[in-house]
Amino acid sequence: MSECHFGLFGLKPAFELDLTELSARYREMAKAVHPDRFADADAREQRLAIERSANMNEAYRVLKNPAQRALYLLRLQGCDLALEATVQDPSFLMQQMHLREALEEITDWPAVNAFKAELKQLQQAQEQEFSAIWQDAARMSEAERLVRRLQFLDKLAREVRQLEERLDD
Amino acid sequence: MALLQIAEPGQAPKPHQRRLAVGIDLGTTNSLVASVRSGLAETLPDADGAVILPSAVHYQASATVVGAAAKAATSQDPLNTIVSVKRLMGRGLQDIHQLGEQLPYRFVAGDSQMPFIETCQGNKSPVEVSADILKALRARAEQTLGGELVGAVITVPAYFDDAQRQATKDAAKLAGLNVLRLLNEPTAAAVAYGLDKQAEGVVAIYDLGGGTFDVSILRLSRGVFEVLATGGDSALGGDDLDLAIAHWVLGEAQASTDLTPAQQRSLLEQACAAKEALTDASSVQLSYGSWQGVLTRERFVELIDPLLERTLKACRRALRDADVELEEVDAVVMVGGSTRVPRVRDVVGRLFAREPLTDIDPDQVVAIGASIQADVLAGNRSGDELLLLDVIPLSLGLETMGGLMEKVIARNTTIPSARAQEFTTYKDGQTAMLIHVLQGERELISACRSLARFELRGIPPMPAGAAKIRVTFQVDADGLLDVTARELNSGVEASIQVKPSYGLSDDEIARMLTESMEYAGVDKDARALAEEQVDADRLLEAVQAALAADGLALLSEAERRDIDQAIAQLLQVRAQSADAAAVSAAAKALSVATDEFAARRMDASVRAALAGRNVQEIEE
Amino acid sequence: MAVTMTEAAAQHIRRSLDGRGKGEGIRVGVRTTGCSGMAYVLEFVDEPVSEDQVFESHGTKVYVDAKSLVYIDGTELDFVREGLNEGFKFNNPNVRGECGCGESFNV
Repeated sequence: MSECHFGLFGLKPAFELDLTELSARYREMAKAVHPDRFADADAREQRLAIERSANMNEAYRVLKNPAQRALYLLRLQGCDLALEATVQDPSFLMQQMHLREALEEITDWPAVNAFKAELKQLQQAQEQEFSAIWQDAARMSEAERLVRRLQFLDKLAREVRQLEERLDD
Repeated sequence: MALLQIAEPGQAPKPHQRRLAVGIDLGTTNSLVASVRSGLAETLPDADGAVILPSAVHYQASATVVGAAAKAATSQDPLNTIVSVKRLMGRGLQDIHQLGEQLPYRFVAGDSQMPFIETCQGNKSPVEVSADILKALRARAEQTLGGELVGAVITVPAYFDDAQRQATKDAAKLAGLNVLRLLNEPTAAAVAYGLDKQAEGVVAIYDLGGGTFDVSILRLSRGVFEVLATGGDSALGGDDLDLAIAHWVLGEAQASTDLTPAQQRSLLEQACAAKEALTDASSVQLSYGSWQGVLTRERFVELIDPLLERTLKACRRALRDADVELEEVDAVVMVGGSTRVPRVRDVVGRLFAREPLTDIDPDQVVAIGASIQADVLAGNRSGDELLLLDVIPLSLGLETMGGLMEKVIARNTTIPSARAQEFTTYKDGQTAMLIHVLQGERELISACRSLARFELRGIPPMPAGAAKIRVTFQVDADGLLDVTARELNSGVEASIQVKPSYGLSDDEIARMLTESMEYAGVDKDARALAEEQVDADRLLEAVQAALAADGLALLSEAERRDIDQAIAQLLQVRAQSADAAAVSAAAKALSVATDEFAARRMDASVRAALAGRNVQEIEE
Repeated sequence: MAVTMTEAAAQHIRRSLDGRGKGEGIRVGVRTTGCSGMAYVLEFVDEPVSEDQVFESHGTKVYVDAKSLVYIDGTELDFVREGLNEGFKFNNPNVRGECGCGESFNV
């Protein structure tokens, strides 16, 4: 049962993913393994159901998020990625600093929305590039770099959410 | 002749095999029990026709009274009449002190941090008090339905943490109830509404109970209720609206805030009555000592708006966590008696820019939803029509070096969920390890909720740093955490001892069970044997059904022979042995022999679900 | 040959069908049991079977399979309350005795 996350949903490993289709499959399959189906069964089947569901929920969580999906695709290809962006990506490091500083300056809602829009554009650009090159073995280090960027942008998006919460106070 | 109910096609139960199941709303102020009969989900009334059981327990010298009669005794015997016990579940003494002004009881410390309440019947833990309420509901249900219950779905606030949930489950155990599922209250309400209206789309549930506030954002799609995010405040509820009024009265009357328990109770009762009166009246008279005054609706609104703003903030946060815009919400549902306050409906309606739905009685909707799920889990209907995918409300994590909390499972992760982390030893020959698990969103441990300390034992002695201990955190469908650990090099499973920070230890529960009337006088060994026999019978039935369905397709002849042997062995031990341990061992052997088979069956059913999906695609 | 019901029973069945949102009517029948003879079957009907006999009483359809009919011919279905308990009761002129537990009967 060491099926990869894609295989679990009957999909081939790919970066382009129809999220509506994925969600529909997830819901259908959840019906088969959710512990609620086994509320009446013996302890062992209940335990199995919990394990299978947890597995499926984790696979769904990873595949839904583009940054996680990209990272997972590389891991499938045997690439073990250290996740901090390093000096190997100097232009992006600069961009990171700018983005962080910009985030610290934000004090009102229009600024937040503008920042979010910019962030989204950046994410989409990296995603498109990744989609084009990840299967090319010769461009592996480039793919790794893109994944690190996506991870960083993802983390930044979370920080934006925390900022939104503080603004709401 | 016994009275009958209408069953689903093909599901008419054989005599003595009716599966009676109920949904229980164990509320801060009011509790209810509901059941599905002849296809209808209904709350069950008591002999006087009342469906609501006030969550009040009056401990008298020679009797324990639960419900309206107990509530009536609140101001005259405040120290022995326990109300709002839900606020104490899974909490420690420090938390209690913060609630001190609302609850006048005398608290003493128990084994863990769990506080006990001094009563004339001795010290009672909040778990025991809740169990007394559950016992009353169970009795009502069994009398009404005419038989023993196979189980109950008990609702909890979505925002309840692990300790609060575990306390609820412990209370059910003490009350002799088999918990089919702990169900989040907003999700229960969504089920009642969703099935009622055959709804599809995004729904927000705003649940303001007596002592807790929950907000959940769900997506309903072809019978699947998927919680996208949940939020709230497990210490904010209708009771706090009452408190605001009480404070205002004390201020206006220029009275001391140092009240006796009786004065406290009496003032809060008046405040509660005033709040309810202001639903229809524009002002209400209040008195305290020699003071008399008038509370207008406008003033009331000023008093409660800050509290309501807290709830709206939680709503906005839940929407962000769910990644849902306000405009995408198709419906807002009001749950909980306090949502009858007109101002509450106003502010919620304004936030979501739509009229909140209130057609199902906000006091009953949670119990009704729970009874529907109980019906499914008890096996009374196919269950293809209903699936609830819920989430964990608060992040789970560990204490790391430096007193910080490292998150392992993030809040709003769909459950069941499992995450593994690897640790190693720091001393040569180290065989044990302590893991401190917390729940919360902050970085500092002191700002998070300590759940439990898990002691791992039995790590094979190795040089420092050589051991690879994988610790798996698993949250089940009830939202409860289980921790397992395995040393990867040797494959040895560590044994885990759990010391809950705010809960009852296994010893305490065992003691309470033996003390309770239920079990007094029953021979312990006879009961242990009976339990093992019941478990063995269930396992045999399940295995035989599984073999009939998939034995040929999924097992080789050799595998089938092994399983048949284990079955024969268990049947023999079951028939001949009076030793609980022997029956248990034989059942375990059968379980192990069929582990692989069970796993294959589950894989097959998952593949079938997927194939069904693919076929559908082609047909479109 | 007929199977009928009281107005009270019909009302409750209509409510149940409405609440359930679907169903053609109810099925009434018997099956054998280990205990002592026979037990009643009372179910919703989504898909009638061609061999069923159909009766209509107070506007509600009652389906009975051929084998059961001889045992419940002349039966009237009622809805009653006994103490806190409420439910459906079969008034069956063919019944000779009942099992002590009240869950099965013989004819």
